[in-house]
Amino acid sequence: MKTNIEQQIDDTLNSLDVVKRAEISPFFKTRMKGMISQIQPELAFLSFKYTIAFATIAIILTVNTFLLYQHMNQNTTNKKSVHEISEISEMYHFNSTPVLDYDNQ
Amino acid sequence: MSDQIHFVALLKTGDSGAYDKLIEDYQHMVYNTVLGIVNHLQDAEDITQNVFIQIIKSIHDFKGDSKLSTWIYRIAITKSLEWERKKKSKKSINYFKNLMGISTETIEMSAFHHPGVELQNKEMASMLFKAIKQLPENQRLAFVLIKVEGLNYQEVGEIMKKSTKSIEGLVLRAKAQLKLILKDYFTE
Repeated sequence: MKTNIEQQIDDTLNSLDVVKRAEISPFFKTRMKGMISQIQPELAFLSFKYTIAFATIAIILTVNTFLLYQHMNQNTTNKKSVHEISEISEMYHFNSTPVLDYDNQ
Repeated sequence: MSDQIHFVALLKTGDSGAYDKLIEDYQHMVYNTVLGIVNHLQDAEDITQNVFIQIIKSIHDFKGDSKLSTWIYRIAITKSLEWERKKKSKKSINYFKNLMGISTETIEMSAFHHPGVELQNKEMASMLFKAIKQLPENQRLAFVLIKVEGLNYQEVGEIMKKSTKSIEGLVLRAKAQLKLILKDYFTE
């Protein structure tokens, strides 16, 4: 046999068993439409945010590749000119031992 | 499921008809969930607005791993809990301001009457909502989603990212805790 308090507690716990859905204001949808049109520019940016991000990454990669290619090209030219200089010096015997050995004279 | 994919794709393109359908289909679901947590009619409507704005802004992040409704429930819960935290901190600031005589703003402590509760149950339901507020967050959410929103354990598990068993456990503990709280109310 339940006491009066136990019965009251059970009734209270069950008081939401037949709860109906609360109705939101009928003007809610109209208000929401107004709010959405206010944030439209922000939404347009958000929908393009991935496109913008990918485009930025693509531009950075292209510039980097171009700079790297240019740098490598410059290195090859430098190596070439060093090679040419050494060929000329060999041709004119710039590297050979001096003809006149002043110390031993 | 393919309907959902098509609908989400439309939302992602910013289709105004899709926005209308989103609001039409989910406004009562969101409003009732929020109302069950915050227990305030006007605040619940404001939070519902914020929930829809958030949904529209972050629809591009929706991967389709869960049902759209599950994802919307999660946003509604997060926004409601955020609002509660803000309100709590505002209340404590007001309390100290009142103590120091800086502000005369009154601290709102009115009972909540859910508009969907039958007249003969109004007082008891109001008492129950007051008791629910004292539960730990997870127990409270599980209890509200099942009792007020009428969801089943599996659906609540998906929303709260927990197993059905742990939701059953949370609800059992919530009921036990509520009995203790209500016993105090009735013996006071």
